[in-house]
Amino acid sequence: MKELYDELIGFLKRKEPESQSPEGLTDKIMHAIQKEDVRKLPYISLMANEKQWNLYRAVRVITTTAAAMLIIFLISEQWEMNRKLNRLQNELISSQLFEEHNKYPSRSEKIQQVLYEFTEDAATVGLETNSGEAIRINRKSLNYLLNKIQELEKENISYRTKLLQTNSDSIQFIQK
Amino acid sequence: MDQQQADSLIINSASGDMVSFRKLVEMHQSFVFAIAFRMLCDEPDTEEVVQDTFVRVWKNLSRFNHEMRFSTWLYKIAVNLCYDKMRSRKLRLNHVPFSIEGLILGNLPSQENVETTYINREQAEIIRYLTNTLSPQQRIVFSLSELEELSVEEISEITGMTPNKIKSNLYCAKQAIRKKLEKIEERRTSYERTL
Repeated sequence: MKELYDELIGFLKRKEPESQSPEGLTDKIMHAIQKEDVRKLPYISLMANEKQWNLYRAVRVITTTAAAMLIIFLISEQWEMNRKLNRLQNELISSQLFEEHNKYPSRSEKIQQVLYEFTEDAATVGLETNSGEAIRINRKSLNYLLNKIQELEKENISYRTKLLQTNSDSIQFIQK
Repeated sequence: MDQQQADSLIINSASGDMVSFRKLVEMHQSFVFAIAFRMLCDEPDTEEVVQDTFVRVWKNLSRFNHEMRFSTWLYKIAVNLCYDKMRSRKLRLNHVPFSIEGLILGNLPSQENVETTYINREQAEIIRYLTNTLSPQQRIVFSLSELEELSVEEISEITGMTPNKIKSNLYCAKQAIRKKLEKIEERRTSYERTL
């Protein structure tokens, strides 16, 4: 059995198999290689247009950068606007709070209030005349009225000063 | 042609010189053909593999590692292509003509006066008969070891298999072939008894 195995292997080794047409095979190989080279040509022609590709890439980069910058600019503008609106809102809130905590009645309201006090005061009763346009008032009541008006004036001055201190920007803007 | 000339041909080919590459192909073509044919046992497939091998060589010559032998590199490419081919046409190998047994039982033809085509056909039929039940890996190892007479280290470098795997594949291949030959022997003895 070993003899048969050796005999077969020996037979196979004795002569190498050969191509029927070695030259034809060489030609086929060279033809295949040339075909491979031809396949590479479109790539080479693309490389020749490298300048155009560079231009295209440059335009793309510029437009992309411009778009990005525009977006950044819009975002920053929005942010700045929000910041200003918030500031204005805060100022308005603070001025409202100031007014809520410090209620300053108007001049006419204050005088009206004083006049009502007169009617309730026993010292002023009986001073009314027939004419609805004129009133008679004693010296004490007149002094009281004048004192109240003076207090009101003082209050108004202090209110304006405080307003000037807290909302200086708004007042300056209004003045302009 | 000495090694220096071969090296200069490789360098020239790598720079795109077709004439040098043609010489390189002419030098190594028969050797690649023999390896591929012993594995594939089919001439058109073998020619295709030889062609693909040299196309790959042409494409990758610039990356060729000059520390490696050119023939080893060729072996590597050719064996890989043969392996792919064998896997793709697995079923075709199973068909073996019955006349092969007659060929083995009778006298093997002498080499001197026989046409190349006839030798190729005979060799193909014998190898196909012996190895048709082997896996592609076993076929490769058997072919490289028994027919090309390469060492385990060389086979390992070409195929990337470990020496132990090569040895086990070779053992299995030999066992399978011997079993087939045993059957033939039995038939021969029974035939002789009837005479």
